[in-house]
Amino acid sequence: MMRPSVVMLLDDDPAVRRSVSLALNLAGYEVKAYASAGELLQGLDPTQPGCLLLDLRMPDMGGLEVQQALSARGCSLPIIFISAFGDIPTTVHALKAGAVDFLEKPFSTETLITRIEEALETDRRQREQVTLRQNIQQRANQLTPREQEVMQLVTDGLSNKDIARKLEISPRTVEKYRARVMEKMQAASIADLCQMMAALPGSSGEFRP
Amino acid sequence: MKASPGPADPRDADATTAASGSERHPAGIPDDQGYRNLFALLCDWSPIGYAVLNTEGRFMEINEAGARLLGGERSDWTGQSLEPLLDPAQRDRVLAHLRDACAGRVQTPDEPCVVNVRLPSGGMDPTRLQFFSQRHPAGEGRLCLTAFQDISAEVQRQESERQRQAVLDALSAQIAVLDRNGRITAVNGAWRRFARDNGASRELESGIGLDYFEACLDASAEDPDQIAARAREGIQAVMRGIEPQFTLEYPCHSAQSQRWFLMTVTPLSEESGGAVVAHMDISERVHVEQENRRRREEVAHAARLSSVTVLAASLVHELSQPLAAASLFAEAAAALARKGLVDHNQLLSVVGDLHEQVERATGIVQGLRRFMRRGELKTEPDELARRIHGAFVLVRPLARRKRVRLELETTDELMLVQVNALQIEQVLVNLLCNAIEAIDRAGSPVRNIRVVLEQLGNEARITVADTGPGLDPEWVARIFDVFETEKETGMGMGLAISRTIIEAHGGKLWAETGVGPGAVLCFTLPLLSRGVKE
Repeated sequence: MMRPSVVMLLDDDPAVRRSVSLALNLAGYEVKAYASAGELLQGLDPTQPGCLLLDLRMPDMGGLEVQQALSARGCSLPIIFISAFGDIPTTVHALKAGAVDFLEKPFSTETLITRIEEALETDRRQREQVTLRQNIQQRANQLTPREQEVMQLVTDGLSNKDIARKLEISPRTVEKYRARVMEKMQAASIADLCQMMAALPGSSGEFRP
Repeated sequence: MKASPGPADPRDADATTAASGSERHPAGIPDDQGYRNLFALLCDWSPIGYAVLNTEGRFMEINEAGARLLGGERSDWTGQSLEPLLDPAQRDRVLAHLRDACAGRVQTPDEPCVVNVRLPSGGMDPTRLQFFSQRHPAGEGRLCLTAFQDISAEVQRQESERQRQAVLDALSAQIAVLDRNGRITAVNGAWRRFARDNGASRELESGIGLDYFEACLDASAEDPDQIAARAREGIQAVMRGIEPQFTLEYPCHSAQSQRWFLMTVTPLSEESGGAVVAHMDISERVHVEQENRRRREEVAHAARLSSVTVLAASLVHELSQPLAAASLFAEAAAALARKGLVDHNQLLSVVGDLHEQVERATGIVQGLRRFMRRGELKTEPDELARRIHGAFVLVRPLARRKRVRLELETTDELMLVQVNALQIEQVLVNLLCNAIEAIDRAGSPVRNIRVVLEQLGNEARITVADTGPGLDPEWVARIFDVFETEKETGMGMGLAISRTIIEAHGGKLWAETGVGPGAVLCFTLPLLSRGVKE
């Protein structure tokens, strides 16, 4: 099972830090509060599940710069920007860079928790996705080059006959490879296998939704 | 009887008669002859001239004082006529006076005859002689007894007194002359008219002899501005020679109109002490000034409102911080209370936090509301450093948003100035906002504004120096024009109005050039002497 999630908060206002921490603690969340971007970037553990609450306007480094710095480090924690005066250009910029959400100060505890739940759900899904992808990759790595070739053609939608012709082998041999691929990849059906392929980086992506 | 007024030698009388008289009368009372000798003695000692004159004005007898008064010895005048000394125009009047006296038609000496005579020693001005004459008991209607004295000095004194009064009366200010004890020794016509028109008592109208402080100053029971006390102190300071002059402007409204007066206290003279207190009606000037102030504040108010558009975004942000915190603290308090087993201390601490944030929000709203309000017209003694802090409170959110540091450097926090607090804050807000915008627009790597408050002589000087790109020298000449602006925001009119405000406070506002890379703007304000607030 995954580690418990932590809400990481960055706001230079001590009262905001204290009140957000208190509200979230009372709702059962663990909170780590940072007063400056430097503190946050230094103390952040990318493997820690959770989400980020970032104030857009910080005296030394703004929320957007923090977002860029995190993404440069390959950290994909969902970010909720909290802002008192979210002007549109900044907002668009932040959304393009992958922010999940915006919260305008002041906000209620309920709204905060709803948005945090959504962000944590996103984080969970992303992390599951990553785990899943890693598993698929591991399984795919066990395939022989010929098996990989067959898998690619199968998921491309070619029939056994077409594959046999293309690879200049007999349809029966294709059938054998195909069974081995299904077994090694732990796929229940061709559709299942297609989904796995779609999840892998560098896949053709034809079957992506 | 003829020789009785003039004994040959007063020393004879002293030596013989008075001494012999006291011999015969143990109580020291002389006999008749002794009396006559004593009066003869007095006659010659007296500074008054005594003479026996005939109807033609010829001196039959004259004492020494009389002869001296006319310039000569007794022998020079005995047998001589008075006529050559007389102003021809007055000759007949004098002779008529003498004839009347000789004939016994002048019963009392209450009707003196005053004549101008030209004495050889008299210089340019005629000497004024006053004659009291009466019939000579043994003169058979042709002789009279005359006492005369020089009253030129007295006449001159009266004349200068009349002139002084005329000068006082000619002045439109209400004037009272005070002696060293603060008693009124003279008032002028304007004073009397003012007293009459304003229903003052008869005593106050004539003024003479009244204690000025009791009569005028303490009469005003309601005196929130301590005008009476300040006037009293001022008058006393002038009387004691501590101050060379004292002035005080004060309101004195009647039922019909709003009036203001300027009180001026000038010392009378070093020997006599005392002072001249003049009250001048300056209502017209004050009305014009008030109208100017009102217009200036109207423009200043409009400029404040437009500068709020610059500050608004950052102030909203600033306001939402405590509101966000307060709302979360309130919900947290409710959540704690719902938990059943309540930790009272924790709950109290959360409510305390909540309260603190509400106060913080209130402070921001109040500051903004104060800044936006239509301001007062009057000025008050104020600490300049407080105005700088007030401006910082308004501008700091913008500075934070633009990541500009604000620094204040001062040696003396207690610099008192007489200002309209809001307008001075407005000037500071304007200068600070300009500096922030300049730094921000240029994207300066170093983002600082240094405000220096210092005392230079009897002025306070405030310098606002930024690390922006500085002012274009061509621009400097024009930045104070009403319509010149470097930016599209509402602060365009700011510098022109700031300068107007500072100049109305008796100071100057200018841009320093060639000091540093950034812009340096300075303004001065006259310092209040420390005594004023004490």
